[in-house]
Formats: sequence, structure tokens, C-alpha cells
Amino acid sequence: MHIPDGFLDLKTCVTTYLLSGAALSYGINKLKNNFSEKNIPILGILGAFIFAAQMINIPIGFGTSGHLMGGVLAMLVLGPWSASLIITSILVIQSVFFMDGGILALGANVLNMALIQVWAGYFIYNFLTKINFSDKLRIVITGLSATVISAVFTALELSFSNIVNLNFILAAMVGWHTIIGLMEGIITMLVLSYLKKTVSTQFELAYQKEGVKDA
Amino acid sequence: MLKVNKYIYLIIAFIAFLAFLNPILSSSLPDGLEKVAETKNFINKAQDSFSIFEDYSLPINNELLSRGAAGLLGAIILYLLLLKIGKILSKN
Repeated sequence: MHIPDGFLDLKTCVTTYLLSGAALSYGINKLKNNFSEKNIPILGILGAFIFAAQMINIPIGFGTSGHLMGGVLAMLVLGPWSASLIITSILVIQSVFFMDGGILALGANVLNMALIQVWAGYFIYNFLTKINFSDKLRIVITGLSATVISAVFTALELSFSNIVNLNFILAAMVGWHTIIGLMEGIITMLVLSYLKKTVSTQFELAYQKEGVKDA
Repeated sequence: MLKVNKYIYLIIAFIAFLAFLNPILSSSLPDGLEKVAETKNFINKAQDSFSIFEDYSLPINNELLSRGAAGLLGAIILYLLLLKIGKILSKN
């Protein structure tokens, strides 16, 4: 869902850069007081994994594909601010090195994927922990709904830029990203099940605590 | 630091597998946003932006190798960048 340059107008680019910049600087300050040294290798490996996974587009039918965004996965492993930092780093490298997502649109891409998807996932997951059902289902629902919310924000930015009317694209964006989001939820659940079996004795995954803490 | 877990080697091998084989594993179909931009007729507004490489390809004279190497390079850059950021954060 990387927005290329040309889709957003200047006011939307500037606004999203400012919003993302403000949110990230708040988050980094918060992380400075809470970040544990033992998280460093996980931060690096998770970033490399999500970058690699984002390169793999999976066909979802009807001549369309989707790939993992990874914000919910990172949030459930390391907590939301670390996740925002990981996804932002990925988006910067993709844009600056590989022309995946525009430079002017980077603020919007960070907002949609590193902030909205992560934080929507954080609130939805923690809300769902109050309801008693399987953790796997909870993770799939979180991945799905956070991806759809991120797609809605993308549609809002496109319409805010007057490139296309919101009514004209909202249903299509939500429709495609419901299928892509289901894939996001399932991949997130599978990766977390694997990590729970293999590394969780040495490293406590953020979602194994009573709800995910915010830093 | 984490005690080295034997699974970490498997995870690293899997990341290298995905990154290097991305030209074979990845579908070239449009993603959700591109599909909407195509069907709603604004895909032609997309512009190339500045970037160091053209898409996911390094200047190597073999397409699979060029895209595979780009995937590996990106994954390594991210690993090193996040390690550095993590070290700066944990110093404070």
C-alpha cells in the first residue's frame, strides 16, 4: 500500500510529514526511557524479516496481490513504539534506496503503515484481550482490522489531495484490504505461533504479557 | 544480549531465502492500492521519485541476480540500521 509520488498534493504531504514527525519524536523520547538492551538483536532481525516479507507479493485473486505490512506483528513482538520505529526504518530504506513509496509521500506512508496500522492494532488487540477467546483468532482479527483502518486513512489522504473522490474509492480500498488484511492476520498469527514455540523461553514477546504495554 | 538460540540461524536463513528469492517468489500483480488506482483511473498520476536504485534492482547484468541482491542488501541495511538505533536508544 505504498503511495508513490504524484498521488498526494503538497498540503497533504506536508501535513502527514508533520504529523508523523511529531508522533515519532514523542515515541522515540518514550522509548529512550524504556528500551532494554536485550531487545536490540530482535529489533534488527524483525526489521530484516518484515522488509524481506514485504517484497513478497501474494496473489489474492481477481488479478490483485498483497503483502505483509508487518506493523501488527512488530507491535505484538516488541510493543507499539518499537514497531513504529521498525516500520518507519523500512519505509525510509524502501523509498530512498528502491523507489518503493515516494519521497514526498513518505510522511503519509509512515502515518498509514508505521503509526495507524501499529496503533490501531495495539488498541484493538488490547480491547480483544478483555474478551475470552483464542489468542490466534484475536491476532487474525487484529491484523485484519488494523490493515483495513490503514487503508481507510490512505483513501482519506487521496481524497484530501483532491485526486479522487472519497465515495468513489472507499469501498474498493476497504474491499481489497479486507482480503489483504485477512492474509496479514493469518501470516502474523503463524509467525507469532512459531516465535512462541522457539524463542519465547529466552525472550518474552510483548503480547504474552497481560495486554501489550505502550513502550 | 540474548543467548544465541539455535532457531535464530533458521530464522536468518529464512529471511535470506525470502530476500534473495523475491524475484521468483513475488507476484507481479498490482497490489490493493495499485488496483484501485487502475480501476479508478488515477494510476497515471504516479511519478518516479528520487531513489538510489531503480526499484528493487542493483546494477547487475542479470535480472534475477540483480533483484535478489537488492533484497539481500535491503535486509542487511535494515538489520544494521536498527541495531545502531537500538544501541543509541538503550544508552539513554
